[in-house]
Amino acid sequence: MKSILVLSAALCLTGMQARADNAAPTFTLNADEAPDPQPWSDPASFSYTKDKGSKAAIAADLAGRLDWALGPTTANTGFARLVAHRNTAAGSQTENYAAEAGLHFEQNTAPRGSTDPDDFKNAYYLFHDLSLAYVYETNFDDEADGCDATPRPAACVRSHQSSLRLKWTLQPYHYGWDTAPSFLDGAPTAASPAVAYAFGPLLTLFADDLVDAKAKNGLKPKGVVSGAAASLNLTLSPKILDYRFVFRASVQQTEAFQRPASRKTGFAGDSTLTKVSLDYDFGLRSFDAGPGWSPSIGISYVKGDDPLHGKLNRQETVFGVKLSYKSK
Amino acid sequence: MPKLPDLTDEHVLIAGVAVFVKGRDLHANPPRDNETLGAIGVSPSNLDFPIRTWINAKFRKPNGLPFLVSGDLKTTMTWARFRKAALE
Repeated sequence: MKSILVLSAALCLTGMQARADNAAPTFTLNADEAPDPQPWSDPASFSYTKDKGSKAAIAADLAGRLDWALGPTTANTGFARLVAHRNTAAGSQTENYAAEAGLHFEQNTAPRGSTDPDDFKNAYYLFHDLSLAYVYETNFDDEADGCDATPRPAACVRSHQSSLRLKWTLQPYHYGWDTAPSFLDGAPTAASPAVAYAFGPLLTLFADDLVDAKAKNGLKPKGVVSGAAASLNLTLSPKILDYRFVFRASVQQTEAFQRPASRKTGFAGDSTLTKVSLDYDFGLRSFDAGPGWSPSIGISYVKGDDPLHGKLNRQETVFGVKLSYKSK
Repeated sequence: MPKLPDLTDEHVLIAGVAVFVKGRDLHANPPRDNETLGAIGVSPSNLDFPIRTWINAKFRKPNGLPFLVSGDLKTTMTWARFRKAALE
């Protein structure tokens, strides 16, 4: 496994050094690690809460990504990404950081040599992101009210682990999986849809190899967890208020194919994460994302587990400001 | 799509984009230079997957121009900027 990871790292680095002489790099900021921000991608979010008499808490989901062309005669790119998922609220504690590098490449089923736009309309597309990440995570097992006391109660266990994670993310697309509003002289056209929509599936295959972990309860976790995470993502935006209200929903199912005994408590065999949000875009619309900052305000509800990002037994509602960003 | 000898590259570009736009007839109401692709009715996904790939095949590769990569085209681009990105 380690040799595969090292080989992958070498491939990624080789790709990065190859002919980066095409267009200027593109930087994007989102909440998740989708290959490229889509209308259904969650914007990056940051929230701060402070109730009277309680400790302040922050929650942040940030994924910043830099893409650059690998050469003038290819649409493939190299990318680097920094990801941070942090939540300091009691009962929802999360600390998960990742630094990642990889290659993005594209396939489609349009007839070779065709320049007929109808062929490209009817084709199926598949975006691949192959990456290697260094992931640092805090385990907040047994966290309960009172764990932030000084000195820290012995019952509150907190440990850290780091891993090398190889990921292969596939994003398919076909014309008709979304529809966008049209405007003429600033107003939606009569033929503009009553509800603009976009949906897209994502499939991520992963292998996560612990490189460092502290023993807990006499058992030191080690070994590789491999598996797949599949998600379905949907965005709806009604015509009222010029498509500024955006409803997003996603369901992610994570299945572990292989788990060493020492990692079974920290990585569930199967887990489901459901996310629902309602936002109001007061800058650029979600269907017009980028370039620049795209602010929105809204409420999000998250339930379930996402073991790849250290989110376990999650059931939370967050109200706050969200931001997307694209350069150029 | 018929290949007429008097079609300019911009006409071909409009005809190609029109294939992906449902909410507006781009032949009857062609895009103006200061209109954004989003206002014209191009979705981000259609722009980044089929339209960009078609532009690479139709204009970039035959003319020896660097390929457009994912993220190069955005629905907030004006038609004038999009035309430049596609054809120059």
